[in-house]
Amino acid sequence: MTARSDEELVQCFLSGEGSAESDSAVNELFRRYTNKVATWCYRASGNREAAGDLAQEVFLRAYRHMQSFQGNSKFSTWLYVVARNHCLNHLKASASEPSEKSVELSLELPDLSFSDPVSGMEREQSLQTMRKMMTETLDATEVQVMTLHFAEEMPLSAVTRVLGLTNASGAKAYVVSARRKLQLAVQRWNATTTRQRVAGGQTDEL
Amino acid sequence: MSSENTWREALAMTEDCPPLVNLLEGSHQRDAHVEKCPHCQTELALYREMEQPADQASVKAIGRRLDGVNWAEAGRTGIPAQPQNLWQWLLRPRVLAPASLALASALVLVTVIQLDRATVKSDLQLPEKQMASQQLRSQQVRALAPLGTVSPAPKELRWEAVSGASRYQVNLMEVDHENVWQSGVSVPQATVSSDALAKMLPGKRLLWEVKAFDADGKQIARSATLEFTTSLQ
Repeated sequence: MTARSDEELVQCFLSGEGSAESDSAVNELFRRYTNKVATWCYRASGNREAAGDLAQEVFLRAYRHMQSFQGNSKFSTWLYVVARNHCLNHLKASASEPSEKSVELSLELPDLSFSDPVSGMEREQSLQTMRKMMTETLDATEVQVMTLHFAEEMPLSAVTRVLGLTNASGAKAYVVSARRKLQLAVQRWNATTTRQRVAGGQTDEL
Repeated sequence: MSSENTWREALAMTEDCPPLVNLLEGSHQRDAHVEKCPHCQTELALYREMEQPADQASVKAIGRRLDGVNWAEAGRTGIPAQPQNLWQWLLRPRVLAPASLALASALVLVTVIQLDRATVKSDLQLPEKQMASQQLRSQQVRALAPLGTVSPAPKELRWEAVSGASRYQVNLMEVDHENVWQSGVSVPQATVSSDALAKMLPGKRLLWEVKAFDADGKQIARSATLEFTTSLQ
């Protein structure tokens, strides 16, 4: 007899919720992913005990939100997203502890000078310029460190762990170098736009 | 908006970013977008890293802990299944540490009460200020609202100020302690974000707790885990 696919097990679980067959389907489905979820949670937390707790919580969340699995993706991808969200929330919460806060770095980057009323740059355009500047100026690891730390609010120690960084000061070194590169890029960008404005003004006067 | 916030926003998910499952499975014309999106590039890298093998001994230990769990039962009750061996469970750091802390706190409390009684007995004229400083050792954050069934959904959480506290951390949680929202404030009340407010659905039970920290960042008091339910009406 052929083993049922993950998606068939989800269907079986959802269609007969509460029945013995449904219970058996969800137990079989989750057992298939025990090691996978354990791996994700361990990579996120770096701690066996915490990872065990996280893994349990991930499965409970998956159980509760199974209705939202539409079958448009593989079950494994959907489960990864559940685990990713749960683990990142956990890391974000740990970052808010005052002891963690004190070791974090601030972004300390200047504004792009979009003050020219003629160019009338909108906020969305300035965000796009910033994104372009980051993807063109920074290397891949710097982009990842900056995003996880500043957008996902992940502590630097966790960023170092999940990205598998092996340099002495971990993610902190990447933030420092990315910040330096971006400060130079902003200076260059501001100088160029100022020159263009001046040139534009001279042309207008002519 | 400050420069810092703008840069953070530039790194965050955008409206053009595909849903994460689509991005990871490559079904959303990801290449053109990913090339210029720091957030999507990071999500893909994070996925690759999370998929890398982890310490096998730890993965196996976690697997042993989860083996045999009846997920259907655990899912229905909302109670995370525990390992079968009670001693193993009791000796887990996450259980042992709070238990030790609770025992130590209880001992301190008993000692403080005994000292307090002895001092009162020996000197009935003890100044009020001195009494207050002794009570500080066992203080707890006392929540004011919301508690029990409330209507409408509460826009702010309030508690009594704690002497010596310079900062409070408030956490709003699902019943499984999944964090919904948190905030750090210097006054004994916090305004709930619109995202968190949207999760306060009628009839839904939520938990919250407050921790108080002194100027050195040391936790000096915390509340019990409190709960409220937004009324169905």
